[in-house]
Amino acid sequence: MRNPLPDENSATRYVEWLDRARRQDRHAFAQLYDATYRRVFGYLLARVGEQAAAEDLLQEVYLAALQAIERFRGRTEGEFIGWLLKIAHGKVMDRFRSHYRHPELKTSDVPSTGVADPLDAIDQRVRLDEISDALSQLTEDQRNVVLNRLVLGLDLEETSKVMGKNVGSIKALQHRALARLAKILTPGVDEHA
Amino acid sequence: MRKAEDVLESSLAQIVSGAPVQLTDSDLQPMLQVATQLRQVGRIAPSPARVERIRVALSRVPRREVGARSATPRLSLWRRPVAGLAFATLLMALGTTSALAAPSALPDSPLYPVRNLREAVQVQLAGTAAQRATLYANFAAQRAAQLRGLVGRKDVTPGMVVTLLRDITSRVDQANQEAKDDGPAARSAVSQLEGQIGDQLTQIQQEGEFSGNDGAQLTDALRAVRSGQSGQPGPSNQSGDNSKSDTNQP
Repeated sequence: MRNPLPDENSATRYVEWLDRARRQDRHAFAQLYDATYRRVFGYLLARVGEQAAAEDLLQEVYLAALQAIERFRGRTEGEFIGWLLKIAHGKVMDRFRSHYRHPELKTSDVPSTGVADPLDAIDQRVRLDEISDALSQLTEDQRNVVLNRLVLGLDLEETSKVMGKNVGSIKALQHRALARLAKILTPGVDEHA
Repeated sequence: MRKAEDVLESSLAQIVSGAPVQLTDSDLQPMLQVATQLRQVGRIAPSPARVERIRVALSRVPRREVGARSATPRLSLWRRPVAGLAFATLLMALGTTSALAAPSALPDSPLYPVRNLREAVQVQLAGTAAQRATLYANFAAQRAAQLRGLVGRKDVTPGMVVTLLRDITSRVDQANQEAKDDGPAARSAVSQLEGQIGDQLTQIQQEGEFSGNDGAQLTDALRAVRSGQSGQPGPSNQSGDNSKSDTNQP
């Protein structure tokens, strides 16, 4: 599994890539793209619930990032990802505002992840459209906590740092968020159980 | 007894890490099921064809759309006259003779920092990347010609060689950086000057008797110039602002 915590070499690489990308070194920007697009895509997919729409937005996010990289002042992987996700959030909001969605996505459209999941026994097929609809019904904090923890794969401390809340608040938030999601996605489940 | 939030967190940590989850609390099962589905979403990748198409699209965005500039901070339009005035004042303060002598000052001269400063101001006042590229290449070519003359007369010290070669390399790098993505005209102008610099350095290599650090630096400089000519990136200067550091040279 990807380790979201950058090691020393990775941190150095990011500083160098970012410096070069700010000077419009396209190769360096391509390196940043390769290192981050999966996570940005995961975020977009969870928000819009459709593979093709998420791929369109992925392109929009990186084109916007390329145009603004000169003004980006961060130097770490975390800062860069956070910046990309802010751009991604803006793109998702634009899309929602323009009512451009395809809620009729079928579960059969969901591509295979190619990753064996240990929870397959209790898992059902991913219902992307339902998940993205359910996420839209959460508060912003609740949505961000589950996206950070489960879609981006950050641990509790990293999520706490990214969201600027203490670990106890993150635990409470994720509990409320998942209880609400379970209630929305699983008929008969009591949110307050 | 552990709080439900702690039990949930323990299971979520397992889901995130991909470890098997031990279910002890059936009330949590629907939440863990949702969590697992969300984790799966995070593992879905865009199609490889789309990933590649985006990469190509990113490489094709014209530089002007990006508002691209090199790392050297540029002056806004209203600041350029101010910088020009400041430089003129500086020249007057240094005295006309000194200022006129500065363009050809050598590294062992107290006017060499003035020469570097003068060049830095010229670059700042240049309007386009192509003009900046040509300026940098010209500055490097002037130094290469000077170095060849000095070597021919055997009137050179190791310190001068090191400084001149370092400044030639950094200016060639800057010229390439500015010329990159700025159209074939700028690239061609820089390449032509790099050809002249390369010839000068080759002559120096053949005529001079450099060894040790000087010899190695000469080889590096030549390599930087040749790689610039062939369109490959030379050894880049990551500090970005050579002119600034140059002004501090003795």
